[in-house]
Amino acid sequence: MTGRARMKKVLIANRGEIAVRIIRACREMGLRSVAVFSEADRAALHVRLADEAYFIGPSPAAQSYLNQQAILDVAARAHADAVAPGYGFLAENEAFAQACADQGLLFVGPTPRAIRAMGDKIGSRNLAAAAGVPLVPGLRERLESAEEAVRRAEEIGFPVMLKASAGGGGKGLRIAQTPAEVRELLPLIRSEALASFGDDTVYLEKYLRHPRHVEIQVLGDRYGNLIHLGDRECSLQRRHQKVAEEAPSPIMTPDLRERMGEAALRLARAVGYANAGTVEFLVDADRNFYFLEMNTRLQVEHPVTEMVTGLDLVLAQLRITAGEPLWLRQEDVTLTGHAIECRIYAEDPDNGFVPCPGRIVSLHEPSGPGIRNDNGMYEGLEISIFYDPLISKLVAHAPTRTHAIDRMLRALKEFKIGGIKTNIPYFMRIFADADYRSGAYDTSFLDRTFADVDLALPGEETMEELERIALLAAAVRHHLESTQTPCACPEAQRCSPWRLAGRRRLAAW
Amino acid sequence: MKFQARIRDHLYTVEVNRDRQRFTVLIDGAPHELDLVFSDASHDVVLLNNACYDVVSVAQPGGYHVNVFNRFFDVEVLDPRTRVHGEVESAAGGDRPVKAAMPGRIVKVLVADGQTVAAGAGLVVLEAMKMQNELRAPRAGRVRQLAVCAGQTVEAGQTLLVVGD
Repeated sequence: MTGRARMKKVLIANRGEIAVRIIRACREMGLRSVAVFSEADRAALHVRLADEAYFIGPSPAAQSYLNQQAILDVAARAHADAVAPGYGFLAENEAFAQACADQGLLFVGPTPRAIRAMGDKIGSRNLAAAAGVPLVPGLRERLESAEEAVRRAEEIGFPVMLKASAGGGGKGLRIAQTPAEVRELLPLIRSEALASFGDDTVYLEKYLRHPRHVEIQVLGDRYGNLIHLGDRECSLQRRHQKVAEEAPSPIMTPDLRERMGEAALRLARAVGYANAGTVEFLVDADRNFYFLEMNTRLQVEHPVTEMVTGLDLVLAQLRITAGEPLWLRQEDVTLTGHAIECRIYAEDPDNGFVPCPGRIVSLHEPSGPGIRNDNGMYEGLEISIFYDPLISKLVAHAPTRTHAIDRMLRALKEFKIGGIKTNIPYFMRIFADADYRSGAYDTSFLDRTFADVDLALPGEETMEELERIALLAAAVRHHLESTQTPCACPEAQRCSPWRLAGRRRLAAW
Repeated sequence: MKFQARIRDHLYTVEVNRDRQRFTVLIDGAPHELDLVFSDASHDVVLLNNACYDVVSVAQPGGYHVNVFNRFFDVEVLDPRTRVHGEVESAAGGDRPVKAAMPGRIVKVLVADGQTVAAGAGLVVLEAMKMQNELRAPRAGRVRQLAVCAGQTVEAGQTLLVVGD
C-alpha cells in the first residue's frame, strides 16, 4: 500500500496560527486533522477548526505541547497515521521524531538522523565544511580553556562571537571585542548554556559586522530528489529575533541565488535531507555568504516563499510524508513578485515590547488584493500568557518590492485589534523608513536605529491628534452608556444579551 | 451633559450634546462635530470633519482604554452625576490580591507592608521575559501580606501582596 493511501489522519502537535495553517492543508488534501490542546487553549482557533481535538494537559508547555508521551497517546487513541510538529515545541526534537517512528507514525519532517546532524552546531559546521559550503572563519571544536579561546580569537581576528553549540534563536551567543572579554564571557556563556540547554559546549567564530541574514528554502522527497525554492531575507531582527521577512532578498541576484541554492542543496544532500528545510546564511557587504545553521522544520516565515513561488509548502510537506516523489524539478520553480511578512505580536511597542495578553474584544482583519493573514485568533479569544504572543502573520504580495511595502502599510492600517496592544505601530514606522524602503538594512538595523524611536507616523495623525480622537470617542461612549434607558421589559421576557445589544444599537442610531 | 475627563495629566472639561446620531462635543469650550456611524459593545466608528475613525473603547475602572489606529490611550472619566465604571468595584472594597501574570523575578519592592497606597500606585517591579513590568495597586487601600522581596523568583499566578482595607 502506498503512503498516500495509508495516510488518512494527521495529528498536529502544535497550537496557534501554525496549527491552523496545517489543519487547512490537511483539509485541502482530504486528510482528517487531530488537534491537541492545553488548559489555556480550550477555546483556541485550532481546536475549533480541527476535525477532532484532544486535551493533553495543563497550560505550561512543558506539561502539554512538550509532553511527548501525552501527544503519542493521543495519536494512538485517535488512530492518527502521521504527526505534524509545525515549528517550535517538538519540531526539531530528534527523540520525538524517533518515538513517532517507533510507534509506526509518519513524521511530517526529516529523519531523526537529519535532525540530530543539524541540531548540533559544531557537527553541522563540520558537515557544511565537508560539503564545500563556506563557513564564517572560526573554530569548529569545543573550547577547552580561556587561553585556547584567546589564542584562536587572535588568529581569526577580533571581534569574535562565542556561541553555545546547543543554542539557537538568538540565545546562547555573546560578542567579545578583546582578549579580556573572551576570558570574562567564556565561563558565563558556558554556565548559561548548561542551564538553558543542558550542554556547556561553546565554540567561537569571527563576528561579521552588519551582516545580512539570508536563507534558502529546500524541499526534498524520500527518494533523494532535492530542489530549492529561492531565498528569504530575514535581517529585520529585534534582539536577534526575526520580526519581518521578505522574499526575495533586496540584495539578491540570479547568480548569488544560484550559488547559495547550490550550497544549500549540497548540505541537504550530505545529510540525506527529506521534507522542507531551511539553510541559513550570513551575507557580508561584498555578498560573500557563510553557513549559519540549518533548520530542520517548517519556518515561521514560510508564507513569503509560498507567495513568490505559488507553492503550498505545508501541502508539499504532507505529500512528501505520504511518500509521493517530488513533482517539481528545479527549473519548474519560478519566482513572481515580492512578498513581505510581519509577525504581529500581542506586545507593547511603547513599553519595551512587554507581552500584552488579554481578550480580543473586537477584530477587523485586513483583506483585499495581495493580502494574506495567517492567524490563530478570533474576536472574543483570550490571548494567554503561557505561549509566544504571536497572534498573526500578515503577508503582502505585489509585483514589486515598493508596492509590497505600500500594500503592507495599507493592510496594517486596516488591521484593527481591540482589547490588546500589538506591535502594529512599530511595523508602520519601519515600513515608512527610507532605509528600509531602499533595502539598505542588516541584522543590527532595528536595534541600532529603532531602539528608541517615536512611533508616531510621519505624514499621519500626530499623537496629539490621536489623543484628541480618543478623548472625543470616550466622551461619546460615556454619553451613550450613561443615558441608556433602563430595561422596562415585563419579568417574563427579561432582556437577553441579544435584546440588550439590539437596544444599544438602536440607542446609538 | 457635562463632565471632566483626563488623559495622562491633562484634565479637560467636556460637554456632550446629542441630536440623534450627531454629537457636538465641547472640549474646554472648543466644539467638535461628530457623526456616529456605527456603535456596538466596545466599538465606535465616528466621522470627525468627514474623516473616519474606527475606535475601540474598553471600559476599565474609572473610564476607558481607547484604541485609535492601534495606539492606546487611557481616558479617565470624572462624572459625579453618573455612576462611573469601577465605582461599584471600589465601593465593594475587599482584599484585592496582586499576582504575577507570568513567571519572573522581583526587581524592586516599592511599598512596605501596612503602607497606604492610592489606586494605580506602583507596588512591585517584576522582570519577566527580560522585560521589567511595574505592578500597580488595583484599588486604594493598605498593603498587606507582602510576601516577596527583591531578587526573589516567582511563579505565574503567585500572589505577591494584597491591597485591602
